[in-house]
Amino acid sequence: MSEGKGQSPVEEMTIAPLTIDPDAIARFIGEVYDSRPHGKSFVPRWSGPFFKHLIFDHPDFTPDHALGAYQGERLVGLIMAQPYVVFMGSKKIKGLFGSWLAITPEGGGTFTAIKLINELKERNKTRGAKFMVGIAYRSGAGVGLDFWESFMRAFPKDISKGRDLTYWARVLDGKAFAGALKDPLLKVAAHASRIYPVFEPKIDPHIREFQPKDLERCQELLKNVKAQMRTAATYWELQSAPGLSKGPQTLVLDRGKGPEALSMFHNLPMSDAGPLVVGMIDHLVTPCGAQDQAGMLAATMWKLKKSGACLALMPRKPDLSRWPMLRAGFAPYADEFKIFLMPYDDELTAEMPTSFDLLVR
Amino acid sequence: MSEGKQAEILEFIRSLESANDSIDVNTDLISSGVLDSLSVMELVAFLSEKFGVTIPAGDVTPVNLRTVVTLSALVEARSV
Repeated sequence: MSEGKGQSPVEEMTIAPLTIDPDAIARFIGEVYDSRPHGKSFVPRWSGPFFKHLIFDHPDFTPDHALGAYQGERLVGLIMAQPYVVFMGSKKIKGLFGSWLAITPEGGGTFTAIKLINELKERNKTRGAKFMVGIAYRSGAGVGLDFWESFMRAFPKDISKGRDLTYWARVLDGKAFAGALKDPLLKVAAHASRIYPVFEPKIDPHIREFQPKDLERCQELLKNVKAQMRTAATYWELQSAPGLSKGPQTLVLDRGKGPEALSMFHNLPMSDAGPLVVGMIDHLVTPCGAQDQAGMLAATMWKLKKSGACLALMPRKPDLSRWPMLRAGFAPYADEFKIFLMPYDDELTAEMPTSFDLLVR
Repeated sequence: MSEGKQAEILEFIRSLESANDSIDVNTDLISSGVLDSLSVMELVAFLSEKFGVTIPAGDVTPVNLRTVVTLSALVEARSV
């Protein structure tokens, strides 16, 4: 873009696919996050290997899934999205799970974020994406949820807000969790949780890691979840990543006739007063009953704890029984988490979902 | 160009936290730091509501939002 007379250098901003490697992307996002106040929220610390696995190694990844904003040669912002297919009602729809929007202070005030969001939309629309979905939470004035709510007021036709997203939370390692926290009240709660520690459970011998032969049955399990908009997992999403810090893993319950239940989960490094690891449970699908729900939960929690997670978080789901969650030591946790949906075509706008069972990144 | 529109936009701009009364219709709202990522969206919401126009995200460019005069021109263009 040329710079006209009297215009400031902001005219030089261009949007183009990211060319830096996943480690450099993780460092860039970390530096941007550190440049802003985050209020009481933990700060996510995604790693290069996580981005590599989840986004860049995804079979449907294209350069248009990871865009940078450049002022001249200088990277001043980025946005990334994971290719993501969902069921909307009975229809399978291709779209994006968007996240990782990061703008440097130099890129602020030049509408970089709006331009990145719009460019992500325009580029992926031409590739057949019908929507972008994402989760925002309150993370300091002017960023996170504040930004997306302002975006919604400015461009009501471009974005819709879904219902609040509430979680189940379970402290897996009270000492480590308390040691990493700033908030004195949370510290007390973390210490209090130590009276109900997570011990190694007697894991159902029918619970094992996902294998390629499980694909069809696992897809069926996710398809039948009682939510209007839900993950239509591919083999890529279901196969276990090389490690919990590199991407999601899948456990299945198989008594010999194929998977009857599944859980999908990963670790997200974060920081508060110090580093901490949060185990995110994306999906827990146990149509076979409360006892199996408890068994899958125990196996998942133990995997997360063994890998260093000190807290487990799982979005609350309509078809999971409360009692196995409460008995496993989970407590309802509600902060200001919101789901945002950007329909990329008019057809989808008319079909705004009322319930969700989506990924958590 | 409607001076009435410009006056209404100017009044809104002056009401922003980052603005002051010395701003006029030709003040560069970007280099002066009046518009940031949040206030620009407040501005778009105001323009849409006040003048009944739809401003797509693609129109949010420094060229269109640089001054009250260019903002007024954007509203005129989107009113057609």
